[in-house]
Amino acid sequence: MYRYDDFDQTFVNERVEQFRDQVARRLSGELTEDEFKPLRLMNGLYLQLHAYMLRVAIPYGTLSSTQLRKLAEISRKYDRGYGHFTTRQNLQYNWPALKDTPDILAELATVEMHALQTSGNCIRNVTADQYAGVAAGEVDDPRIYAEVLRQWSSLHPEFSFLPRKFKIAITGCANDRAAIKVHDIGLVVVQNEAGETGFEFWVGGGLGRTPVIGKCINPFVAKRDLLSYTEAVLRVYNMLGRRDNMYKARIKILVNETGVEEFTRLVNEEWAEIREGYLELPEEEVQRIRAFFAPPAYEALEADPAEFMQKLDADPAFADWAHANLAPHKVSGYAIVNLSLKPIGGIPGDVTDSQMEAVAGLADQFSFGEIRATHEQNLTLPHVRQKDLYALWEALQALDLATPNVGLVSDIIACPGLDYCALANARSIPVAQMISDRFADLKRQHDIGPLKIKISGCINACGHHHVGHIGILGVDKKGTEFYQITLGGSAEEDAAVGQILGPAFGYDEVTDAVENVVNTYLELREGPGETFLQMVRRTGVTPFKEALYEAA
Amino acid sequence: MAKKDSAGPQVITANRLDDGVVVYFATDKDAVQWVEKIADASILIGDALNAALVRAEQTVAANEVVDVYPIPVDEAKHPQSRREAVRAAGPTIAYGAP
Repeated sequence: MYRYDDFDQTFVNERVEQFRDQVARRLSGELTEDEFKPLRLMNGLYLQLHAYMLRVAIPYGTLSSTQLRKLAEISRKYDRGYGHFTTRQNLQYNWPALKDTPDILAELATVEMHALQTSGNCIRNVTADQYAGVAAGEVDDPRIYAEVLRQWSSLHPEFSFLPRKFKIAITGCANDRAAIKVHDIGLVVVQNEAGETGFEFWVGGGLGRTPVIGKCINPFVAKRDLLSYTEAVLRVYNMLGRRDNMYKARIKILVNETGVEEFTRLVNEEWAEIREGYLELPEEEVQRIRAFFAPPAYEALEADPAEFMQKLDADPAFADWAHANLAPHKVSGYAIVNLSLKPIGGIPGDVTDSQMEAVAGLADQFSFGEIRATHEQNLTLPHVRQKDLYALWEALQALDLATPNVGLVSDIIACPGLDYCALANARSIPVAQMISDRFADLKRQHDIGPLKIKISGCINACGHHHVGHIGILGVDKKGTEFYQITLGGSAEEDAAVGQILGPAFGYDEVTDAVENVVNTYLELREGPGETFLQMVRRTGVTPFKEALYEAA
Repeated sequence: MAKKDSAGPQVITANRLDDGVVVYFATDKDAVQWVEKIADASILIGDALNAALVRAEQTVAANEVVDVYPIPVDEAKHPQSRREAVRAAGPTIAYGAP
């Protein structure tokens, strides 16, 4: 993992003390709320529906066990004993007191964490594939470049007051688990024909009230040009992005209004000015950062050892979990393990202090002390020996973290919605819970196969509903919650925005509606080999619409 | 200055500055306090509401609370909007450790 050097640590410590002074001045009245609000937002502190909310950055989703223990401790000491993992690989505390936040940030700084740039119109926490460094078929570890971008974008003076927030995601795999095409910049680490490493640049993706799939504006930007090219994109956006209307201020609007070709020309023009300058990424620096992400000391192990295979045969519950929650590791004899934060009827992404501490312990015991947060609101242990999987599974079961549903119908993304969020129009969490309860039968879930439901409680789309295989958007109609259903979205390499099915459903109807959609799929699929998304793409939404609305 | 958006009975709400907790305005002649339970809030209407809003805003200046605004309620002090009902009662879901 990346470790702070003196510069990083001093910088973060100084920011904590600066914020401590700002909070003191706010509490004493020296600063008004209008003066203080932009300062607290720069430190990740919001005022939400019930209380303040602190959003802690987890750079590219990678956590050490020490950091996770600290997150647990903070949740117990300063909050209500739990935290919430978000779709941007952050952790949110829902109940911190303003007066405690300088102490919370000081505690985070002791484990090389902070809440900087988790809010505001700046470059936010760079997110990455949760399987970074361990995925089979990966071109290069995206965290190296995410860290380069983090250092470049932290307190970047030119990009601290952008027209609007700016989100970057990166993956090193063709199979996109980081939703890069719905980010302001999405990067794919690729190799060109000469075997050189570079980046595919996808620009102008985003969700919110105007969902757009990003456009590839350059299929290969060489490694040394990563920063100069990114800076060129940001410069064009900073100069030309709209500041008159916050709903039209994201780069996706600029790219659409300018046209991809002209936008690309402008970027290239800017790039020509700066590419030979100080932004050239030195190979030594890449190597220095790469060293932090060096693989742990893997043992030489045979793949699929007998003790693992025997347990798979002997214990169907273990086999179900292994089927849904494991992913192939690039090293023989190891597996990537996903911990579901979606117990049946639970709150997506929520985790208690004791669960966090227990996971930290399991990471130490089984995964070289490393944990990943996923944008789908689950956790991952990236390096587990296959022969340890059964013992790990038993431990996770005791913690209620072994629900074998990763990628299945109850592995739902949900934003905090009206239960917590000041912007929401409708609740998301209880809708996720009702759907999860309805599909509680795991055999049925496995029979349905891969199906991603994503729920947002308002048009800002923090729950990624536009790119759900089934997307659910909560709206308010004259004081009553309604839920609009979309079908056919995807956040992966085949990214697409879902299509609205028809009139919205009431809170008490939406679970039935989702079940109706799933049943239509089960009836009409061309066999278990055809996934839900494949069928929607084959048939369109018409058969679903007919089944849903004509029966009524 | 927060504006009243309804002619009916209202209570005034805010968030306490130092811990962010949702509070409601209770007034008894000159005594003014912010209370955590909406049941303890004062129902206000017309001129009394306007006068109370002025006093509530003074507590913003005194760094007690932020984000003062009135909300329509019924006779039993139940907020008319779903948002304010959730805000008054807390999340509608059981959270944290079971």
